[in-house]
Amino acid sequence: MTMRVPNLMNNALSLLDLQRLKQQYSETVQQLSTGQANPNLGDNPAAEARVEGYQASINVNTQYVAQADTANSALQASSTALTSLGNDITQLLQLGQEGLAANTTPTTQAGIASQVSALRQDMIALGNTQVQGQYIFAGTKTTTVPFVDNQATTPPSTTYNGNSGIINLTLSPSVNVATNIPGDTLFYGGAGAQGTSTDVLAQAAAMAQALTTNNTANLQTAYNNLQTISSRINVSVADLGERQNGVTALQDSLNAYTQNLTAQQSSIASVDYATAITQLNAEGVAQQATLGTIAKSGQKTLFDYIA
Amino acid sequence: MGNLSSSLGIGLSGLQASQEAISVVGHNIANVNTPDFSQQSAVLTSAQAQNYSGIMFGTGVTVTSVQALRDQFLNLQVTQSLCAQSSAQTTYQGIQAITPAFTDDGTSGLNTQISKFFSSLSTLAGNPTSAALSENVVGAAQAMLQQFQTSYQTVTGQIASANQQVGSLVPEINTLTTQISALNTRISQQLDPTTANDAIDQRQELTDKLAKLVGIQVSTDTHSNYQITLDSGAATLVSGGTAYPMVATPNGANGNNYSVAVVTGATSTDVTDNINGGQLGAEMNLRDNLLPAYQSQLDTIAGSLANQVNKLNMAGFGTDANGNSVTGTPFFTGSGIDAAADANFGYVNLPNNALPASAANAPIYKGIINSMVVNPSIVATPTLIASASAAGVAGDNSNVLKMANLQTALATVDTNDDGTGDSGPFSTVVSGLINNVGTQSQKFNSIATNQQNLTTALQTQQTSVSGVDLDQQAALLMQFQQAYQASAHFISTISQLTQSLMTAVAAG
Repeated sequence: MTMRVPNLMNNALSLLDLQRLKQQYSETVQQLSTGQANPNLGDNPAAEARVEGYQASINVNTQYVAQADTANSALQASSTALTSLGNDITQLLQLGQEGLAANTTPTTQAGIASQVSALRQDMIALGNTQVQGQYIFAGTKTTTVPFVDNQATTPPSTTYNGNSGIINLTLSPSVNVATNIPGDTLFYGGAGAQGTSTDVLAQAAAMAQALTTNNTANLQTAYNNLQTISSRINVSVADLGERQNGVTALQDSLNAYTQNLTAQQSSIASVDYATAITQLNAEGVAQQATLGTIAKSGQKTLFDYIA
Repeated sequence: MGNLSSSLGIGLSGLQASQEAISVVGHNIANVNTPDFSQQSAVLTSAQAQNYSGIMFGTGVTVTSVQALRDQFLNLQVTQSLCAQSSAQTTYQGIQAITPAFTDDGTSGLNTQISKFFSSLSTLAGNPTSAALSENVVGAAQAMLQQFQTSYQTVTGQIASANQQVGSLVPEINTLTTQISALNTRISQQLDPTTANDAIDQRQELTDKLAKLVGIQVSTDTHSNYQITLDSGAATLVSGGTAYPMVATPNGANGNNYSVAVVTGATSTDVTDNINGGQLGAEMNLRDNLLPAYQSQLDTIAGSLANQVNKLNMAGFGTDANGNSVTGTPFFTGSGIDAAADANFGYVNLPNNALPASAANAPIYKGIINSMVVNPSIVATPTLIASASAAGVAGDNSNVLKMANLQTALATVDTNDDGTGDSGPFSTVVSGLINNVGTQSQKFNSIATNQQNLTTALQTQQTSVSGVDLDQQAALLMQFQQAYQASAHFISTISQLTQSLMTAVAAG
């Protein structure tokens, strides 16, 4: 069957085709100028949802990485202080050995006692270490000076004004890391253990007192206690190191995961320039062909041939 | 038997018929580009024969009518298709206009700002006594609220625009229905209404225009009148020579949005909820359903976020300007909102900050975004952010950590307004909203394109049946020109014969 093709018909169809080609061309130009595969929300909602999902995960990961940085800084500060504390205890043990030696004179003993007292003061200062204005060994009472020396007692004693609170940071939905060691746990051996055999400050004071009074038995006791405390501190140092390693490993993993997510997101969100440019050229050619066809079609009618 | 005189009459009828047919061709050519014009043709019929001595002699030709080539069923299909196309296109444009408010490029956008807010809480957890980091949380919260409010207001602007369109479309519709009813009168007054070709074409063109503006059903009565009703059938717009006007009136009970009624004599029928198609139907659907649904989702997310954060902040302990521990401070507050939303904020500000317990006591989040602010007390003293779970422990970060962890927590968003969080995390719900907007935009774009294809196909068929083909008209012109010339030659011959006869008579 032959279909009638009135003059209006060709023009309307050709113009619609041209309009769509121009729209496609404009969309490809927009892709190239923005660098996005789907510049408008309605272009590909499914892809947009995936991009949003990746972005949300990247944001959370970035946040966890930042938390890991903070945790590492806090752990590093505690680790540095703990290393110094370990060194002080090692020196205390050396001084204790010197004091326990058979050939020491009272004058020597007094000198050693003085050094022990100085080391005790150094340990109290370590207990009051501040990082960014916060006392790192005060538990969660980070704005309170945790250790106060009381020289009025014999031997001198300390008061702990912090608490046993743990400061956690979240590094992933299932991982919380304790970023501090409360002062009473570290220096006293636990809450309420102040002045006992596990209290490093009390044992240092006892050692100095024993040296001053030449009480070998007490000196030996303090020495033995400090040896036990030294082991405990070493365990704490190792524990902090493990925590730091764990945080670093997690941080590496999070960074790798973020990179992976970013690559996935980019593969969906970013335009493939080679494809887009090829498409743009093809659309340009199609547009020219359509324009040429419109210009040609309908140029002649039978009227042109009627003399 | 015919005589010379009657032969002259036959020749004359041929001249007249050809001239009239040429006139019809000229009319067709003149209307080659007129929308909805149907090609016309002269219907030629041989004149009644006369009986001479039992022999029937023809008496020439006559033009009995001028017919238009028209497919009424196709015309009505085009009308319906234009209506659907216009509706989809308007809806697409309305949704497309708000998409920038929901676009998230990773540096700005709803999800990004929510993420930055929770990230700032997380950073504060690393040093909960830091005034600078507390200040940072306040700034991030304000930026997040601003993003919510910007998105919300963009949708509000589009709703206002849709409402304005409703108001301006109604007079246009009334003009068209009045013109159609006048044409109905002109057509029905013809002896044979079906031959009122140009009036019928004009009416069709106006009906197509009307269908683009409002969803209609068209039927034809026995007098060739168009009967036009709303597509829902709720009211008649045109009946014969009468047009029933639409009236748009601001409705105070519906935020001064226009209500639309059709006036029939003294009766006014509210058809606000009964207009489905065309631009008007689409604008009303955007205004009353689609766009408010997005706002409702925004309200739900913001209200739920305020609830969850407030609940924790009010349970925890912050520090006032004098260094004292303070509890019970809501993080977000609102003011200047309507009574219903105020009641909802009341829940948010309750001492235990509980969500309403049941669907019967469901929260009304509507409009909550517009009134939300960061508690001015917290803005003045950011350390009131309750980082600690207990009093007097400024370095305790356990509560702010809980707030930061809300970002990834499930069941934080109350999507069904039953008072209980049922969806989450926030980013997933926001992504869902963004996806919803994008999908709707894509859907209506796709419908509009498909409908345009369908309309084009129907119009192509319509043009194929009714359109003017210049080649055909040229051929007809030649045909009738030749017929005219032949008739003229015939008359000339009869004239010569008559002359010869007269000469013979004179000579005899």
